[in-house]
Amino acid sequence: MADAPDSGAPIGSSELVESLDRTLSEFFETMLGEARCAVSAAEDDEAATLACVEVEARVELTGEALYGLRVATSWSVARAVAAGLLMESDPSGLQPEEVRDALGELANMLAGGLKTKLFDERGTWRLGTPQVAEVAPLNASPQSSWAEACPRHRESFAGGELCIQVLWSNAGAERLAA
Amino acid sequence: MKKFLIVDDSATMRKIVMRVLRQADIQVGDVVEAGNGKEGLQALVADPEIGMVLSDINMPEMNGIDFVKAIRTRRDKTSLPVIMISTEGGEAMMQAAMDSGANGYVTKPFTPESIRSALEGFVG
Repeated sequence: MADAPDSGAPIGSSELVESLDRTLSEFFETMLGEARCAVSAAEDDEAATLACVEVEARVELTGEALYGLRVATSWSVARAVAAGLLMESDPSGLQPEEVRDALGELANMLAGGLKTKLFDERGTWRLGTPQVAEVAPLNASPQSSWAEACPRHRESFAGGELCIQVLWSNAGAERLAA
Repeated sequence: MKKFLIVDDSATMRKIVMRVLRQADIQVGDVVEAGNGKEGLQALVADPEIGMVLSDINMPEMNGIDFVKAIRTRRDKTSLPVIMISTEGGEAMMQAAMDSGANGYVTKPFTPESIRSALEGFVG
């Protein structure tokens, strides 16, 4: 994982990393029945991984700021996640809508875990519903209105990778004031 | 065996819940599905044989908390078991669910054991 610059976000990067680590471990062990396998920056070429991104799921947390938990990956890994969640032995039999829905649920569970472990101690936060979309590769599509709140996580799964980002924006305060 | 109503805006999550119920060896009769609280209420009205409800909280149209409150306003549903299943595991949300009339609470991600524990006393 590459170090992110000091983002200025209200919740510290190290706390987010620690909570996301625990949440990811719980998800992999409970819902997929296997230990997670984090990818370190030294192990692989991050740019090559991010260039494979084809689909993302995002869940927003709105409070004193606006946060977004984003899971981005290739269709083949998203399909493998869906198959794992549904215990389907043949991922190719899954419909695209099932794959989108499963990726959204993954983002939803990770965002909910972060909210429980970290955000709920810090005031009132509202969890949004998952939004799933096809996307351009991450390194070709910078998030103009969002900043990374902590270093992105990369998890090895089914021969590919899941990229998990916690993003933030000042727009949360504006939304609450509106 | 009781007829189950599973309420979640994610069809995938409804399938996962059914899969975990099987893994937990819980005796489940027929299963009715609904995508939000409003559809859940319609299902309960249409099918008086539903004897167990598992519901998500964070849903569009009508959330799980309002869904349980609406169930408890019906005189014929005051004792219908309702278990909430949510990604939110904070005490405030759990308390809100119990205050609204829920009988139990399971946090996602969940195991067959956590589902079985929440349903203990309500199903075989």
